[in-house]
Amino acid sequence: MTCHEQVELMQRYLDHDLSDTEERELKEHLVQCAECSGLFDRLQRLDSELSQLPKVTPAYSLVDAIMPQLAELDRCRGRLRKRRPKNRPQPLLHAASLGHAGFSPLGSWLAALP
Amino acid sequence: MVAPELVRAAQSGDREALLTLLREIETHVYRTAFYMLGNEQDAMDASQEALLRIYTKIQSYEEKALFKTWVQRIVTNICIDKFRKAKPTVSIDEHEMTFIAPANVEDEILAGDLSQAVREAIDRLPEHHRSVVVLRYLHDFSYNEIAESLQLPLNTVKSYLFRARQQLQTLLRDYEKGGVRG
Repeated sequence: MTCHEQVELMQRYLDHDLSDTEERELKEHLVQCAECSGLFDRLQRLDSELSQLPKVTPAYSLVDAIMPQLAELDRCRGRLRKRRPKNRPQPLLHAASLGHAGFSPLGSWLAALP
Repeated sequence: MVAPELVRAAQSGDREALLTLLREIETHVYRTAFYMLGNEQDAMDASQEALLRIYTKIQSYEEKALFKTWVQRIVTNICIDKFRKAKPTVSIDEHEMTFIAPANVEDEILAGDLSQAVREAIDRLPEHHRSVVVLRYLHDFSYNEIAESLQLPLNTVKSYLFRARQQLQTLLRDYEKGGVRG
């Protein structure tokens, strides 16, 4: 197996994706190859640094922040529902229906939703 | 992990359930946006947009996919759109993934703030490579879950992840060599 193929094993090792046989093969190669061994150390260090990246959280509740928009969406939906009686087949989206919904900035967006 | 019952209640039109669900996922949505976009303000904007989209599109979620991968698909798509608008010339061509080192990576490493240096390096990855790294390391997603989120073939996911790690270790090594320790 070439060094290039060993690099793939190293990468999969980081993701716990190696069989016992593959892992043994990789370890055997690393003992003999200083270059691969150096790369493997750096990849393992990177893997640990990536795993320790700060688990950031938003500064304030995002749901609270969008409450007014959610209420506006609900209002628009309510209006749209009233405009489309259930006993009539839904018309395909066309310019006229978009125009009706255009009384609110969210309305035209909602009308475009499936 | 959002309970399937909560998702079903939200889909059946229970507004309180939908709001509870959004509160449960908002941190996960934000975390992705933060590491995808690299700053707090853009991350706040993108996550709010993602939550609004989830609110309106909850009916279209189908249980054949995991809910968490569906959510991450929505937020990564929004971030990639923003990313493209901000940096229209970024190439994701596999053979010409050039790496422009930010001037301050070295300073970050010298200052001992390694996680900041790693973040700066992540910021230089092309968008899909970055998404794969974020899902793998900030959400502990498996190859399959990443593939499902990004709608990419499994082999592409592996190749992006492997290439991204290769590039990240090269960048960080080069700067360490150039620094005090070299």
